[in-house]
Amino acid sequence: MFKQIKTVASFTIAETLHRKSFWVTTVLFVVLMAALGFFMPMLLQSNADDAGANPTEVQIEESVLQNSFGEGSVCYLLEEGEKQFTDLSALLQGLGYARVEPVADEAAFEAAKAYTAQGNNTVCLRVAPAPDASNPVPVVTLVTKDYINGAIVQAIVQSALDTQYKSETLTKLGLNPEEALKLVSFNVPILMETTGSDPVGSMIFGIALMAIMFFSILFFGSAVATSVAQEKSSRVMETLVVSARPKAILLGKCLGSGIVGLCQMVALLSTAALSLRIFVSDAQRDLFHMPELGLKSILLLLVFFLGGYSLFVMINSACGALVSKMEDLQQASMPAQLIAMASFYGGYIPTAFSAVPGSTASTSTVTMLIPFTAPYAVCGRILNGTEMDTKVIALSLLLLIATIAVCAWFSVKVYTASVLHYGTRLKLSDAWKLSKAEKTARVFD
Amino acid sequence: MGIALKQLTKVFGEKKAVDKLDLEMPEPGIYGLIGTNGAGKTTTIRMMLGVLRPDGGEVLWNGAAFAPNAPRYGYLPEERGIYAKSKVAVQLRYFAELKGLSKSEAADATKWWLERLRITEYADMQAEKLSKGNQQKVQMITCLLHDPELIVMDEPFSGLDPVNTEQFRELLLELESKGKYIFLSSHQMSTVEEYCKNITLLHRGETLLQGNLKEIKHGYGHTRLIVDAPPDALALASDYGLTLLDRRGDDTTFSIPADNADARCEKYLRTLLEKGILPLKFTLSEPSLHEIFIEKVGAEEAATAESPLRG
Repeated sequence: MFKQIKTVASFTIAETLHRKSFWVTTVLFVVLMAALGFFMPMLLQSNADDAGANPTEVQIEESVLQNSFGEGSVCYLLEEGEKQFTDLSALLQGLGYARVEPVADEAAFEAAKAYTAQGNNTVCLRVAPAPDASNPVPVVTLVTKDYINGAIVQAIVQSALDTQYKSETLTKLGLNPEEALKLVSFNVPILMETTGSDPVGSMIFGIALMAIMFFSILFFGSAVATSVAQEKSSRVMETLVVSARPKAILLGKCLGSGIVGLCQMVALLSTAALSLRIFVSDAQRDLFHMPELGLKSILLLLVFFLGGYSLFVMINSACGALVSKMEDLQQASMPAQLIAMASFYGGYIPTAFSAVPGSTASTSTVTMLIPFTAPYAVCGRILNGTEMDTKVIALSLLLLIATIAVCAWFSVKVYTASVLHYGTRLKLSDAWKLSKAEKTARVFD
Repeated sequence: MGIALKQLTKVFGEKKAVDKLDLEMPEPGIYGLIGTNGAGKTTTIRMMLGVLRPDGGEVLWNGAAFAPNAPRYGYLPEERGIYAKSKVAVQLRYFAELKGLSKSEAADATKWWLERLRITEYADMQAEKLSKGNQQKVQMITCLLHDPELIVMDEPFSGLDPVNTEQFRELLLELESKGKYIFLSSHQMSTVEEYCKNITLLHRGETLLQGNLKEIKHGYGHTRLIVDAPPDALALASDYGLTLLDRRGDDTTFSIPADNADARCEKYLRTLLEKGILPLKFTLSEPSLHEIFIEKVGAEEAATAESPLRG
């Protein structure tokens, strides 16, 4: 039995290495990994620039400014009751509005709002006195056509009105107008330093690795399903099942594909590591704390990758055995692919959020305990540098191994019952019934 | 000793694919398994090889149940299947190793068989690029390269050109002379007739006919008369109850009634000789396997059609 598994695995490896699609995918991902290292310094630089900028300065794209405040822009201004600002029109024109048109009453303001709704590069601003004397801050309403541009305009107008209002208030309290303006425009600079690991580098690395892991599982799972279906459709299965036990064929195939998948993954990670070493400077690495993976983390990554791979490849092999025509394979493999995709998103997304400061990791912990999502959840958390309870990891691994064992047992049953079934595509339930009806024959023992 | 099938039964749903089949092959040789489509031949073979579990009965080798490697067996399925994209030698070595040979033994056996079937030049070629006949040779090698004791061949000659047919014929006789137990399943009655000493005729899972082919034919007696003679002589045949069956070239075949068959022919020949006609050919023959097959299956079909229980 073990010799047969080894023989099938060796043949599967040789066959995979002869396949063009394997090399195209590998080369593509190697290039992507190399590109990741090449572009990482630019990504890190962009983040560094953002982090170093004054957070109180409003960063607005030039094009947005031109659209909202440029030529032809109009601000309809309704000032109710006592004036809250000395010269609001001048202030608004200073912001860039081509024209500030005072509005006499509420009816005219409503008409201006209707005009604004038609997208005529206009805004409406209503300034009213404070309704409550204990809090004498004026009530300002800004009306824009849509939220996207409106949010930017609001940020600019608010900043200007805020500064103006505070400055005028301080002047009324006896301060020199120039000093008052300087005071309200001034921010205490805070320089930020971090001592722990920053999630940026780890997150980028984690996303890349998760994507590789997902595609690897999807690619090799689908390759095993295709291989099984091809053996049936080409009728080589007839010769195969009298040469080796179906159990050995199935396990050998999964093992062979797993070894190739693992080697591919190691090659990609090595490329990524080499690329990062070449293109990312030590200073950038220190600033963004690229993940430092210890032996324990690497072992866990390996174990959970292999676990996830085994789980999905077993399901795929059973799907391949259900069909005898290649054209039926896509439909038969659909449930396996959906499970794989749902597991990836369900496993990785909560993990990514668990790295966000202040978030609770309860969802991510749950996904660690669901065998289908566990490989992504655990690997994701290792790469994000999120702390994990050893007991949860152990339980997750235990559940994963138990599920793999159940899936392997189920897949072997379905595969054994289906391999010599030709004709219409079998439903999983039919294959299961067949496996129960067709008790083990001699070569299947 | 040898292989024995005892009361072998297989049921699919409500259909009995094979019903209480008894079959014995105590000595090496070539055994014919014949039958119409859906007769149960492939199901019998699959049960024999352990791919399907019988619902009843058993398969014995030398008096004991089959074990994983006792006997070593080779199978040439009716549906030819090869790894289209794999090189010929690679897939042959793969199957040899799966069947228990070591790497070096597999390589040696592959080399030997490629030479034996004269396809060495295709060893490093993808199997899909080979002609149908050469693909069939690859399949045959897959079946034989681990030197099996029991060989099961399903339609081994189908689709072969005369040259390859002759090669396969030689090979089959060589295997027989080496003391192999060979099961031959075929629709080609002439093939079975040529190679098999014993046969089983299956029809709808039931055994219609079984035994030594020579004895079966003897049991029928002479049923055909082939004559090469002038037209006047042929016209006299009807006087002795002979019915014209076929004319091919110079040969005319008559069917002989079962009662006093040899006596009728003797009288007919005497008449010709008395009239001074010396036929170039006057051959009495037993029915061919093809004729026996048609008769047996036809009678069974007719009986089934008349049966009030026919579903």
